Amino acid sequence: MEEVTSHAVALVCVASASGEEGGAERLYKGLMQAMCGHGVRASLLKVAGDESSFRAVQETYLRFYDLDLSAFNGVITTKAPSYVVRHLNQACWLVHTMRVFYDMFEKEFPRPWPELEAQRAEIQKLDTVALSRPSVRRFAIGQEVADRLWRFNGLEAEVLHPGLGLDGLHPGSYDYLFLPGRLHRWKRVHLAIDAMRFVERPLKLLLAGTGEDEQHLRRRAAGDPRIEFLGRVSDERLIDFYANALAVPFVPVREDYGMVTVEAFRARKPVITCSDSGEPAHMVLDGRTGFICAAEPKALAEKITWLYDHPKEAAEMGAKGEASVSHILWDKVAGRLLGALFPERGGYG
Amino acid sequence: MTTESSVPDIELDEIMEKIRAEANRRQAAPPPYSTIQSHAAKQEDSSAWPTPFEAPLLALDAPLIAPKDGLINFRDLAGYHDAAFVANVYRALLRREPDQTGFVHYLSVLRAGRSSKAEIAWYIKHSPEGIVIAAPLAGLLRPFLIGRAFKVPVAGPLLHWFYSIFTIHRKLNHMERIEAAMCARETILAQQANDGFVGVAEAINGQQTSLQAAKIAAERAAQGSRAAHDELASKTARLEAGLEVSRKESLDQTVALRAGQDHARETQAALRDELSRLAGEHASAIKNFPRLEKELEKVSADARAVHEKLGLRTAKLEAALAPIERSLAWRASDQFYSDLEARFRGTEESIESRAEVYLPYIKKARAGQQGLPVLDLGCGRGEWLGLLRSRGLEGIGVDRNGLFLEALQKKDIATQKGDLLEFLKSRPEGSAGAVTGIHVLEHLPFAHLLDVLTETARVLAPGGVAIFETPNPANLSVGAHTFYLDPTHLKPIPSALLAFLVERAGLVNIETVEIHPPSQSALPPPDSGLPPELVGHFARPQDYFVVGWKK
Repeated sequence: MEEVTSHAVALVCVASASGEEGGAERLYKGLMQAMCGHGVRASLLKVAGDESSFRAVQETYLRFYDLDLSAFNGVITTKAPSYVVRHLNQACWLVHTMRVFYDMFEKEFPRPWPELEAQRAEIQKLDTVALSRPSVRRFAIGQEVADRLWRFNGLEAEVLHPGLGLDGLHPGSYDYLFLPGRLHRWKRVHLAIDAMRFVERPLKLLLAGTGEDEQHLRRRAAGDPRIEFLGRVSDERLIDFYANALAVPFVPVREDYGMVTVEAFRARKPVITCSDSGEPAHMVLDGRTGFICAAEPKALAEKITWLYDHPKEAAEMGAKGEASVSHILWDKVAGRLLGALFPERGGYG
Repeated sequence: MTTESSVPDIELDEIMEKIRAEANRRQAAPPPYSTIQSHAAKQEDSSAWPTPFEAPLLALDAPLIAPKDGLINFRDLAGYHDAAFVANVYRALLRREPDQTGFVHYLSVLRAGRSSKAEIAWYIKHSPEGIVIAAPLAGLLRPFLIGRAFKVPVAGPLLHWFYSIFTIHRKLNHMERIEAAMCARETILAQQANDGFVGVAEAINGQQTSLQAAKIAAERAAQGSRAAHDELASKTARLEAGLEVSRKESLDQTVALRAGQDHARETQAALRDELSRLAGEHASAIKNFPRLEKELEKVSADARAVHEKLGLRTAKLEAALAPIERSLAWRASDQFYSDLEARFRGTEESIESRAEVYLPYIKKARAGQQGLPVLDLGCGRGEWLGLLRSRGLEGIGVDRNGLFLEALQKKDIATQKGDLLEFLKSRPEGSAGAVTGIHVLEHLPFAHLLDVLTETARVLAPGGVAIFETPNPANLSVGAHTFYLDPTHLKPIPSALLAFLVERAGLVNIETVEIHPPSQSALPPPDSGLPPELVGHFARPQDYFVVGWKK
């Protein structure tokens, strides 16, 4: 029996240069805790990543490639480029690749010059080669990420939704729209702000979080007293804000995963998302656990207004949403990943 | 990993080694690109990726403009030239954008002069696709036939020659139009080219500015790293010094530790001896235990007896002490109250004259005669009793204050020391002609006051009278101020309340009389500006009494 508990597992992740804590950091924490519950000796390895220039990107790839992980029986890798590590027993739970070289390339570089095209090809080739090694078992945090891996790299991955890092979510009243998250253009918060112009109801939109586009968004919302910026909020307050929300208008651009969807459902709130929002659009059942609409202010406003006029239905949708995410548990994630690393030990998962 | 060379990894290894070689080359001759990039990005908040310059595009295609009536004439199409003509023929006749093959073919035919515009339009219109779509096109037949006629051998060129002479004016006109259009296009081209150049220049300037900024940032970074290096060097020196000190300290500590170990060893031996001695004692103690237990039992029985005896004695002592304690307490407060009266109550004579107002009630009740005495509750200095006595009326005073009573006894006035209620309770029912209480009720707690009134009604003989005087809170100055000059006063009693209580105690014909109007000087001056109603509240008499009769 001692052998079972002696597995040493490394969870390899990429530390952002700014030290900013995002959804990925919560994810690492959750997986670490869940793995401890499975009786392995898990270590979290944070290696610095830098995407400020192509050379910095190359050096980051080298840094991971050069890691000596021979002390571990199994390795779980996450974001790009952690999966280039050399180890014979690797499970890559792909959080995302470097998206500027993938689905965000056209958006970020509408007129790419040849050198940039070559760089994109190099990174895609590198990822494809690294991830198609037989020593790597592939998983993805969501259907969106798995789809992208198929489209760009021709590789399949098993979808494994991460659990929540937030305990104690519960429903309360249904009073306002609530949208937490980083204020970044990829999160498309401005769409929710613009939609409010077409919502002719005394309904508040509360935005929690900070980010590089905060000033821009504040200017955009100026003049509408219904829109409030809450800034950074503690977990306790986050839970409270979820509890009394009418709905969560979560409308990012091709989101990798988006904890917000699961969090909202756990608090029994319907989620309104857009057809191009990525994972949320895979998780929301249109008209049953929320709405999927076109990425246009008017379309979004129409759904918001409907929910305001039908609070009872909103609560019912939220309840169905909760049921739809009840299977998402950290314990299952850890069990599946460890089972892939150590199939001879049937005990995991 | 020892197995890096396994087949599938070779490709990855190759790529990574290439990247490594590239990185090494950069480090050998480092262009400050990547580091400066990150510094410049922080300082200027510009994207770390260079932005590409976007030049304005020249329009190569002219979209087909359909005439208002929707019917396209060949003349409209012939107005377009070259690629635009071919594209627009597709749009007009096939209702789609040209496909690559067809477009290249017709354009080359047109450019080589092998077919006229009319011929190309004709071929397209009569292609299988054109026949299916059957888009109407007016004015095509004539130019097509003319073009075909020119291609007839021998006669064709002749015909062409004559036709050209007859239509030379139209050709000239057409050329002028073309010339004008070319000039206009040239102008637009020049303008677009200029715009483009300006854009390029701006972009270059922008890049130069950011390069400049990058250079400055690099210099700053270099300075920073020099400073950091210096600091590091000094820190290293400090650390080394610290290391030396701690090395010495650890040596000292080792010596001290050894000494401590020796001491501990000695102590251990001593403790072992002590332990064996204690073990012996323990054994003998166990032997003695039953005997000791018995002794203990006897001792505790004795102690219990002593304790009981002591308890009895304590109770007795406490009982004996209680009256002494109480009298001691009263003695102190007697002196205090006596002094208070002397300061604030006025002289005995004035009090006596004030009490004269009650004599008519006493007379009417025939009190103080025939064994029905006047009972004066809280008689104090005995002014009222003195007055009664001077009229030959019998009175008995009661007060808790021993000092007052001593003085009265000297004057041979009957008094009793003690509590009012106890005093009343000790008197038989219907045994008093009158009960008076002058400035006494305001000293009693309310429950006590009720009992005193009930007892008063009980001890009065039929036709007997009760009189109670107390400060009048209807006078604002009394209620708010002078009442509290006596700290033993509890609460002012409004006259209506006292009348109600006396009636409730069972007495009848209740009468309330306000007495002792304030002196003029105690009133607000006439020019105080206070409203007259308010002045009235200051002008109310300072005391009142309530009279009640026993049926």
